[in-house]
Amino acid sequence: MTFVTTPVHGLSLGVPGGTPLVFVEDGVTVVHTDALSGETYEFDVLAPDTQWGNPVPVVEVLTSMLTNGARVRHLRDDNRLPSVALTVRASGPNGLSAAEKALQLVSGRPAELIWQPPIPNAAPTVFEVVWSQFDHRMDDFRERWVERSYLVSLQALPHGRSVSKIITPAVVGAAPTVVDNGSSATNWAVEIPATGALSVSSGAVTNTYDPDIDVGSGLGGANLRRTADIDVSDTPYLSNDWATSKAPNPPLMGVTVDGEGALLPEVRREPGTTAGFTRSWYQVPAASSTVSSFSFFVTHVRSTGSATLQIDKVQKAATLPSSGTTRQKVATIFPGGSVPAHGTVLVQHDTDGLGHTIVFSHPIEGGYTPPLRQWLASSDTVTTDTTLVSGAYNIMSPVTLFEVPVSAIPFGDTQLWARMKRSTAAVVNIAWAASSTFPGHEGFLGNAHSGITTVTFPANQWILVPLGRFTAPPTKTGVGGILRIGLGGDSTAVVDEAWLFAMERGTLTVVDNFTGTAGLGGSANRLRVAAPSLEEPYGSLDCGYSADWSDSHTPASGNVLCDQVSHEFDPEGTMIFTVTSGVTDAAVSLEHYPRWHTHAGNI
Amino acid sequence: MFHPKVDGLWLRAIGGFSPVTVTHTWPHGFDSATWEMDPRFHHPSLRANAPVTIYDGGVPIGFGRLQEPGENGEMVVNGLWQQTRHSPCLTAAGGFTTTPNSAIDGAISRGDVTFTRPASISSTGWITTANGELTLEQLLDGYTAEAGMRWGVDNYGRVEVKADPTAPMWHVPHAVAGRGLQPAEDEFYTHITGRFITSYGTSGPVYDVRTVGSDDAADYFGRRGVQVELEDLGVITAAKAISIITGIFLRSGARMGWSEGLDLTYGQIVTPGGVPAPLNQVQAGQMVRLAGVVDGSRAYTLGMSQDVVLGRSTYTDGSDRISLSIVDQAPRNLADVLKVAVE
Repeated sequence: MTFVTTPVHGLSLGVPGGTPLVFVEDGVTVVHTDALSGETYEFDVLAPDTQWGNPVPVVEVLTSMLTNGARVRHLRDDNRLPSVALTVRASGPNGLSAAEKALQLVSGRPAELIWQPPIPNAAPTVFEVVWSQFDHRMDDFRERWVERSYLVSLQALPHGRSVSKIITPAVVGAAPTVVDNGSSATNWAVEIPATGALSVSSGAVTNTYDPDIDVGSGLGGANLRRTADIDVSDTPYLSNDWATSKAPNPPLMGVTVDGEGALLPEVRREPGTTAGFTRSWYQVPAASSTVSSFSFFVTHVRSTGSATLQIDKVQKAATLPSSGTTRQKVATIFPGGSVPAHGTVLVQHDTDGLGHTIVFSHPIEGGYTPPLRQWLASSDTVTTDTTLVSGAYNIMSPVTLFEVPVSAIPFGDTQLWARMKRSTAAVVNIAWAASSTFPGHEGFLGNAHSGITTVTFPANQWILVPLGRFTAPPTKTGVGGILRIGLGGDSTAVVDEAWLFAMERGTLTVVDNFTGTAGLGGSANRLRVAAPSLEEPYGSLDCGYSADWSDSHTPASGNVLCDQVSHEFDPEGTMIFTVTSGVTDAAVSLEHYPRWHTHAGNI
Repeated sequence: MFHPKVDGLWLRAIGGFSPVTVTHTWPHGFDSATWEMDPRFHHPSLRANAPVTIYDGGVPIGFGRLQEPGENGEMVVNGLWQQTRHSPCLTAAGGFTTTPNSAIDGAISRGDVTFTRPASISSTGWITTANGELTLEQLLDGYTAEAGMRWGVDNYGRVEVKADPTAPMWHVPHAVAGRGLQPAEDEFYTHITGRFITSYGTSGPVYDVRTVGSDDAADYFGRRGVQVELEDLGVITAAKAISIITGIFLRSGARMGWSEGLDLTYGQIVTPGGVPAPLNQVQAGQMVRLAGVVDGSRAYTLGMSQDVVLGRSTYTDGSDRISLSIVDQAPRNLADVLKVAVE
């Protein structure tokens, strides 16, 4: 047990940007002096009427078949209601008046209530006050002691925040480095099941095992452990190209490092280099500089016969690899804090217009990223073109098919967008369909969702089009299922890239910033998307030209294709996906305050 | 997230607004949207008849016109279909017409309506008497009733005429559907008699009647008749009258209506594949199957599930609850239609 003998607590209330009224600092009541009279005053903060309140959850009761109790779904949190009980001690009547005036100056308006706990090195917490008022408590006896009491009642945003804003700088895209190409079994071991045989087969490290052995919970399974050190000090992303003979009814899978039980978050999934392999990217904890071991495992329903688990390649990277070209980028942010934080996303280039600009954020989930071309299954001839977002295009007839593992797509409300072009102007019906199936099965299972969108194509100009919305996947499948997306309807139009945006928990901003050398009245080379805050209650969307944002302005409404600005950074990690058709490797930086239930931590 | 674009401006750029409530109906499509803003707030774009598009993310889900904002800060958008209520049936040249294509194109060219007509609806005069009495709404109602179809303005602002869907887009699991919807007899008829004008004599219009109906339904449920007036259509032939009454009858299908709607929460309505439906995607005009519920509303037929078409859907953005009501009769497929005996 530890008792703090020298408390360092502090409390202040102030208007943002102004001088705060400090009640207590470093554990000592602060003495103020009235400039006119020279009399002094100080505030005694009193428990138990001083408290920080709590976020007030807003929930909706869901109808259920429960006999007792009820299901509820959390919609959001409402404001918390802190209060501060004060007794003013003054050296004279003018000091009492000055104290009340000082209190009035910070009340009745947006302010920041900053609480520093008494424990040394504890992080202070800022409560963002929306409104406050104070009530005098009459006590004639105290008046004779030149004292007055007040109760300050506040209404603040539900979650406290850290004092300092965290700025996540842009990182220049870097190609991955191969750690192990799977051509040798050196540094590899098999632990699960114990009878598994380690070998190298077709250039991949292989565990050949009996899938009927119970590896826990009645399931079969296997692992491959790489035991050599991997320096990850500048490369927090690790990938492995894996394949299992249990497909198309494949396993639960995951990666642990350093013998720890916790799974690393899978932050991106894409097809592997070798056909039949899937590449999963994982992010190691920020504090790690070396990974001493790397274990990839699968579990599955037991069956007789023989099974294999293979790893073809292990890589590490400073940034997550782009899909196609660096005109589309994926980044991750672990914002700290204990509750989601709204933040600002800045997409910038020094000189050139960003073109079609997409900013999409979503909690990290199963390696999900929106681009579809990486999952192209069949189409007309694909032509490489590095000036495009995906690095290639194809005619939309015959139907362009994409097949995405359902485990890499969040369930629920999904929107399908595409970047398309047509050599001649025309109004064309573009058809799309989404269905569930399994690898190798041509038909679809259950019902499909489909639609036809009338698209007005200008001549020879790339356009960004929201094609429709559907429920992903239309039919629930096992983890080996795939979501098949079809695009077609015109034998002249070509598609560069298509995207699936998971809207249930995602936030999407789409702006056309035009291309070419940036300048006022022309294309914009900077885009800033700021979530609503007390300073900007509706959030903001600005394009700009100068690095200091002095010439920023709201883009024309007609150039904003999707106006969602509340990008949220989940404490468990958020994926930030950006597209800039006009420039490669745009600088994407993030700003946010970590948010906490009541007490901020040190970050 | 539902986000209105008013007069070409995203509403967020104008001011703060509450979650948007959107109502779709079938027939008619996008019907209305409402939200609240600071009542003290005024903006030149927030004016009567300002064009509004409601977006779900980047996808439009309804085109309409703003009502004059009230003093309480409530904003109401009327769907474009409502423009047909007061639009006369005139050609672009100003002549009387009962040809749907001509009447719609005339209204579009005058600016009476602001939806589009991407496909032909009908290039044939619906009734021979074109005297300007009909509004565009009455023409489309009448034409679609005869054709056994419905009309509306879709989420993209396009007028469309189509039959009710025959395949369910959503399922309500049996555990939720319970005993299912309660059939109601108040909208139920086995026979419909139409009264129409055959000619104008010296003492006024000469009337005649024709009746269509289902003997099967009458045997099963007991005969129940109703008379509909067709005199507003002027002089029509008996064949035309039968055609119109038959269309009305086919839409109602000689089966019970429903006495209640559905009030569902997230997870209580799913895709046929079992994935919970995003409630923002559930809207009027779609078919819902109440799984595992016996359908006794049709004569001599015991359906093993109730298939209903949503007649009205109301959903507030972000909510986990949706309010649905049912088109008063089940959808028709060819087999069902052939079952109906027309006298």
